[in-house]
This record gives sequence, C-alpha cells and structure tokens, in this order.
Amino acid sequence: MYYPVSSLLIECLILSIVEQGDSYGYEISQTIRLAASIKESTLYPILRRLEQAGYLTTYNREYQGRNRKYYTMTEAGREQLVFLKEEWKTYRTTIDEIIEGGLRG
Amino acid sequence: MNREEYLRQLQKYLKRLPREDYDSAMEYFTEYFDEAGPEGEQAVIEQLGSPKQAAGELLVNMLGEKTGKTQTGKAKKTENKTTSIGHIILIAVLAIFAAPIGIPLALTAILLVLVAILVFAIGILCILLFGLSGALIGGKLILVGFASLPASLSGMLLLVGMGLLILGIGILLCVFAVYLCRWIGLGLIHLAQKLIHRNGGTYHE
Repeated sequence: MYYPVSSLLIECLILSIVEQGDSYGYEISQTIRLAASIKESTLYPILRRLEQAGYLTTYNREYQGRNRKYYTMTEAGREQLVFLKEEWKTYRTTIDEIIEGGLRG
Repeated sequence: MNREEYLRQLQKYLKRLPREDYDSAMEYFTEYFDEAGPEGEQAVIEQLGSPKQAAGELLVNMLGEKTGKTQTGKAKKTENKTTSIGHIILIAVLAIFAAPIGIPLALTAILLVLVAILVFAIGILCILLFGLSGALIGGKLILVGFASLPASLSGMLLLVGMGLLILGIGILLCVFAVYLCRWIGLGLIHLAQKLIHRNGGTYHE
C-alpha cells in the first residue's frame, strides 16, 4: 500500500477485527497487512498496549497440539472502538468530499 | 539462520525487559513462527529483519507506546496509571543497548546519559536546597522582625519585608526545581528515542 497507516488507525483495525470475533496474533497481522505494510515489531507493541489499557483480554486455546493466544474484546474496548470509528468516519467523509465532492475551506 | 537461532538471538536482546513484557513478547513471536509454519519460516525472518534490528524496533515502539506519544487523550488516561517512570527508563536504556551502533559506542552513550542525569540531579538538588534554606531564613527573619517590634517599628518592617522577599524567592526556586526535573526527564526520553531512530529504527515503513 502506498499510503502510510498511522498507529491509531491500526488500533482501530485491530479492535474492529476482534469485535467481529476473537482472533489470534497471526490472523490479526495478516489482515492488517492487507491495508498496511507494517512490521511485527510495530504491530506487537500496539497489540500489547491495547491489552494493557484493558481494551482487549486474552485466553489460551489449544490448536494442533500447541498453544494459540486469542484476543477478545472488553467493554472498554467496545467503547474505544465506537470513538475510533466515529473519528474514522469523519476523516473518511472529509477526505472524500475534498477529493470527489469539491469541498473547499 | 533458522527459526530456533532467530528466537534464541531475539531472546538475548529482550532478556532484560520486565519479566511479564519479556514472556509476552517471546510468546508472541514463537506463536507467530508456529502459525507461519516451516514453509513460511524464511519469509518471516526476512520480514522481521535481523534479530538485533527487530529487538531494537520492538523496544523503541514499546517505549513510544508507553510514553503515550501515539495515542488519543482518551487512551492516555488509562495508560498513565499502569506505567511507572522506572519502567520507561528501563526500556529506554534497553533500547539504547539494542540500537544498531557498536557496543563501545552504546556504552559511551549510556555512561554519558547517566552522567548527565547525575549532573542534572545534583544541580536540581542544589536549587531545591537553596530554595528550602531561603524559605527557612525568610521565615526566621519574619519571626525576628515581629520580635523586634517593641524596640523599633521601622526595624521590624525592614526585617519582615526582607523575610518575605527571601521566603518568596525560596518558594519560587522550589517550584522551579520541580519543573526542571520534569523537563529534563522528558528530554532524556526524547534523547533516547532520537539516538535509536538515527540508525534506521523505523516506526512507519
């Protein structure tokens, strides 16, 4: 992808992914990578912070004889996602209106 | 390099992180390799870069996340509660060590930073003590001034006035010292981030 994706937007993407169903690191990473060329060394700290801020919690589940760590949404995470989605909508609409709709300041 | 070797080296660079952070990070990367499978192993290694580079970026980004550089105000509030200054300084020091510059250079940088911290700390302590003694002397002068009221009114006014002046300067110095402390603390964190970013540590691709 040509445009850089900010870590706040990545936060929004992670929360959106987990909101639609519990997910694990690799799946989250592969999904984010559809939109942003991001390294694990950048993605992991964001994921970790979301966990420490209480937006996500984790649980372990066995998969093919080994452990898989699943991320799941908390109530605080849901609230944060509502906020982030609202911000994203405003941003997207404004950008679209400037590019397509002739919006001028 | 294979996966075992890669994880072993990564372990080496992250070892000194707080236990919980370390366990969690190693667990994440081990699981990541598991998911990619043997056929994806080389691709993962290529994408992560050298263990040293990956560890460096990881530490810088963790430091960035912890100092709240990249968050909304809403997220910041919950964050500050869980992160202690000591924690941040530890990660900053680790990040300097993991930065892609030679070990001697890193050691020099660490020592320089530590000496700088010491010098600033002593300086701030001096200012603080100066302020405190100012406040005490001021207080004493005011008391003496009131005590001398029976002897001379102008004498008392002079003494009390001087006392108030010195007391005020003392209190100002104390406040100044506290602010100085905070500025220098923030400055050091920025310095650590700059040192590491100079040599190819990247946040955005």
